[in-house]
Amino acid sequence: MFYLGSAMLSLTGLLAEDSGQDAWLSVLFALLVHVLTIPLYIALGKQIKEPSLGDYLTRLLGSIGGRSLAAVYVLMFPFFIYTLGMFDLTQFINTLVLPRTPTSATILLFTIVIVAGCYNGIKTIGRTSELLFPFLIGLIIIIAASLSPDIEWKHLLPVMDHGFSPIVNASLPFIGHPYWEMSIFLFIVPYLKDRNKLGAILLHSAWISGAVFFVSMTITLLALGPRLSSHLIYPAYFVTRTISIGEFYERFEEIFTFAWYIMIYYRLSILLFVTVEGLSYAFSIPSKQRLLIPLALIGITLSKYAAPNVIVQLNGVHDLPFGYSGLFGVLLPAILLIIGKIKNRPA
Amino acid sequence: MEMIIFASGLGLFVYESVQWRKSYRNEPIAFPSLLYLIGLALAWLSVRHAPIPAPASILLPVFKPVIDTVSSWLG
Repeated sequence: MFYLGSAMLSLTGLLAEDSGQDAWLSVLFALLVHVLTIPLYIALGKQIKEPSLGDYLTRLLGSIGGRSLAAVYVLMFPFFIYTLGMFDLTQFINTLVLPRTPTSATILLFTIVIVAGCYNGIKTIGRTSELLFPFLIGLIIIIAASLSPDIEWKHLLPVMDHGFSPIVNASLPFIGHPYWEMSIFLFIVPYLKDRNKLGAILLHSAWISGAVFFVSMTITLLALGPRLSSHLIYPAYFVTRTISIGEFYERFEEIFTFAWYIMIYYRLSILLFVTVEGLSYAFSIPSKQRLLIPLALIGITLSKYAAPNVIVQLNGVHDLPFGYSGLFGVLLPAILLIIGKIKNRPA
Repeated sequence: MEMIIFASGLGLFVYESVQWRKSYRNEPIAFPSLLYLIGLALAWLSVRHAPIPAPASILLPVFKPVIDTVSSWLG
């Protein structure tokens, strides 16, 4: 749900723009790179024996170093992505669903639901997502099956017309956003009942999200073609509007929107939850919930001004995630792993 | 709408302060209060339609050299 939240809507068009009819191959390449980085997180997860990531950072870097790193990390990475994700959501709602509703009202209402979820804790978020996930997968299968009459296989041809390079280039933003944002889950590792299952959880989440991205991307290309897909801001949404069988089996875009609201809700909830976790550790606040409302209040205004418009935001989604997520999602965990190995080395 | 957000934030800040006196006396108050004040200041700027810089426009120029270096290493 975390992976699917934002990228499913905004990245489909960017992938089609960069690699045309080979965008489906870019999804597979991004998934492959993501799977190759999973061992890093598994190794780091095994190192975390403490009851919280904060205690682990304290052991590794000392109290001041650990707290400073946690504060900088959560504000620069999960909270920053939270404001961009909320901006993404409100742009979508204000452009396509509720154009006359003020942006602030959309943000406020969504924030209330997110704060309520985070207030109840990660277990509640996890259990409700377990409940809703099969339902969402069912909706996506129904949408994909309903689009099958519009499929034209020639839209995928010729395969790799411009070689492998555009496929790799197109996959870079997709690797950064959402796959390398996985380091955020290190804050949730201590909540796992059995930490040995971390590897299996990450692999399952990778292939399931990869399969959904793959189906979504491929079906969009097959139904709309690479040219039209690359010219639309939200092609994955637009393609569902084309479903019309017998003039009564239609309006599937509302089902898609509903599914996307649920997915982005979980993404934003996890991002806010991790921000609260990190800051409560950094500033020694035992009652973590006390930070939820002030952070949400900051998030409301910052989300509104996260980018001047949707084009700037999409350009940001295209250019930045690989380096930014590479820094916080791969380089930083790798450094922590190395420090942990050095500290754990027998004298 | 922005005024409603500001007023709600202010109300919650007052409620939080009362709660702190009642329930969390032994916990730090400075940091949550600071967050509230930042949130309220931003909400007030939004009420006044003052130009608020996008977080990305502050963060990204600072990180740009690092991002470019990481990008060149990774890709």
